[in-house]
Amino acid sequence: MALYDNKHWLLSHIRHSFIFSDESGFSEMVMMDEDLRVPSMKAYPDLDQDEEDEDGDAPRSLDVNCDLDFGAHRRRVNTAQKLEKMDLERKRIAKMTSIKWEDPLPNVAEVPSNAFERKVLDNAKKDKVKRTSTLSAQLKDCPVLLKNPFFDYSKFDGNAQVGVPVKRYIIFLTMLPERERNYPLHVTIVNTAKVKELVGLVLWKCSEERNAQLEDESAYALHIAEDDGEVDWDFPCLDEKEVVSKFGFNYLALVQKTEVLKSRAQTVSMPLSSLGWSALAERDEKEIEGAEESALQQQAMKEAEMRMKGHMTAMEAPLYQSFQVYILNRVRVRSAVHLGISGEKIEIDPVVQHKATSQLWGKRKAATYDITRIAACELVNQRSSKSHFRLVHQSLTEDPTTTFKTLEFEAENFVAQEIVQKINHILELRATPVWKEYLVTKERKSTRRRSFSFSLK
Amino acid sequence: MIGGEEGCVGDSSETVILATGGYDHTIKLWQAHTGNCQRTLQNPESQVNALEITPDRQRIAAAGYQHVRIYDINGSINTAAVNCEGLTKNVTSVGFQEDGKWMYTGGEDCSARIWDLRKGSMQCQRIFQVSAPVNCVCLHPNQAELIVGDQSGIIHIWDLKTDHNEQLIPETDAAILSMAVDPLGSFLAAVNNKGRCFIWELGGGTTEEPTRLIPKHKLEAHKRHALKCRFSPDSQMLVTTSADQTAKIWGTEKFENPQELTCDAQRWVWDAAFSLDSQYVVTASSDGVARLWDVAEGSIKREYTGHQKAITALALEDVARD
Repeated sequence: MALYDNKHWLLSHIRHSFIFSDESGFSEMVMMDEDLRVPSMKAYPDLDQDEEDEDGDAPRSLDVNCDLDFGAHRRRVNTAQKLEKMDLERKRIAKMTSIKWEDPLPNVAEVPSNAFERKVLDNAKKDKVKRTSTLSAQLKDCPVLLKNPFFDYSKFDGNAQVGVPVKRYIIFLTMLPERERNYPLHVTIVNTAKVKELVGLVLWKCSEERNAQLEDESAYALHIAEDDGEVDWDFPCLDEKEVVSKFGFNYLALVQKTEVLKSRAQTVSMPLSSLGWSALAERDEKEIEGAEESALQQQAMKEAEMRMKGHMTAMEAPLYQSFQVYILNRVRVRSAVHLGISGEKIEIDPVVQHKATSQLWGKRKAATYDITRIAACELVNQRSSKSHFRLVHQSLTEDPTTTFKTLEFEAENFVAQEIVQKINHILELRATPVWKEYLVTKERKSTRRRSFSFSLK
Repeated sequence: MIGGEEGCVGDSSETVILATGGYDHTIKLWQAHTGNCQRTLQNPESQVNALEITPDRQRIAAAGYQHVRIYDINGSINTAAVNCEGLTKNVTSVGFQEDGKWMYTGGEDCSARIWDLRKGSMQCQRIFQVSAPVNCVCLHPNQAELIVGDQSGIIHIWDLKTDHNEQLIPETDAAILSMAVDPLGSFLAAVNNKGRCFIWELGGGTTEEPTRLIPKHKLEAHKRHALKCRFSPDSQMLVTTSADQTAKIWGTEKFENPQELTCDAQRWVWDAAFSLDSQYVVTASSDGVARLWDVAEGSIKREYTGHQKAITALALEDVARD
């Protein structure tokens, strides 16, 4: 009764009474949702609080049991959590004695310090029999334990670390026999570890705790799983090289990689803000074979393209095209001309020049050569930017013995090449007798020269 | 310096204690013969520079940054039981008088101190100032002289009773990184940052006069900084460790042809300790692994893995078998 003037206690009492007596439970629901600041221990200055009362915001009543199974999970108020932390700290510090350095007393010499009496060393100990060591005995009794092949991964275990952020997983081991599969492994791993290392740690724990026959860590992969252990096959396995802290999943399954999975090995890496399934981003990582395949394909395509181009140029050859080149007359003076090439004829039109010199020396007449008179077109020489090419034609004489005359031109490298190619395409297509004759003559000349040189020897 | 002598068995179980500490803010206790980690103690916000097990084997002291923390070896509390503070900068060395009456420390604050551990007593409290950071402190087995090695290369011998001190400089401008006196008080060894190891024979030391040091050997022990030296419990061997990734075992008769303990994975070897019969040595390396070696063969018998970063301190307390 003496408590009734304590408003905090009164408030608390009223709340508890409502919660307790309301059979329907609505009061409890309403009041728990209220953002009422839980009074700290200090708010009850008149009461002797039980030091053992750890639950800061539990109803301070023996009658009321707070199990809220109405579907709404009880949210622990922030202050309650802070209180708990403070409590633990206090306990920890309380257990630790602190010794602060104090400077020695000034009158040290006067104090009989028997603490620093010299000890007489027994040198006879030197000849004493060697002491037997427990460590040596234990090492002898304990034969070299076959080091667990996954032992190196044990250092990633979060339980052995202090003050390091860790991630906790529940791992279903699908490679174990049926009855063991239902019991998942609880694994705590440091945040900075990679998925590959998580696999190794799981295998290590598995071998230590379950005595399973396991293969090499590269034969296993981690997949996302449901909380009942069912593996979600829609998503590919977790990327080995990704850091564990990126993933938000708690349930994973360790699966033995099949050949198909190994070869495809399309992996999933989660973005940092992964909130589960919907926020997946698929990153394509082509397998090395896949990359090679595409490279070969590209090469084949390129070759086909080239061939196509060749065909096209041949087909386009008879079409009229005009080039600007320089014709070289006998005095080796260049004059610009338009060279018009078509499947029927080749025209040479001089470009009108205004300079006096060129007018004097340059060719002024236009000329047309029917294609049936053209014998050949070939590149003579090629310099850095300009090339010389020659057009061989049959001279217009009544003489039965055909003589060939040449016309020399100069043009840019690629232009010259194009012209030569074009004319040769046309000549091949038309296969005129003049063309054939010229070829034969050329052959004969080369053989004669060879035989001549022979006879000289 | 070892303290765990025969007949002095406390409440602690008669198990072999192996502890390692380093840069990952933890101290791990191992089951030495299997390699399993038994407990991990927390040492927040500080690396471990030195580890020493108390003479009664109940507790372990860890010298860190601006403090020395003492932990209970038994039980399940993973936080320090005692925190000795009031120091500045790194405490580089820690040790105990063999009956546990007082503790000594040395640190970068250029001092060596004696901490009186007896309740309510300040009699033993002492401080010894030098002019350079103190890298190592070791106690003569006569329990009355403290040997202090500093960064400038000077070795001081401080008589705790008379407060008299002597100095010697084995090599100028070569920081002394570690020193050791064998349990019989016959030798003093010191290693410096040039990789050299100096051996003196100790004379006197039982009467009131200061210990005499007679230079005996100068060994070109290592190619790089020598980090630690320690004598075996039977005074037969000396181990020196170095930044050259090796530990070397020298016989104390001739100090020649050392057995080399090295492997590819090992990095700087910061600390080493012998088993009671000198058959095995445990080394602590900055690759985060401690290793147990067979001295005669020079081969690794056990590995202690679990530390996330370099291990810079080791403590081993073996138990005698009657």
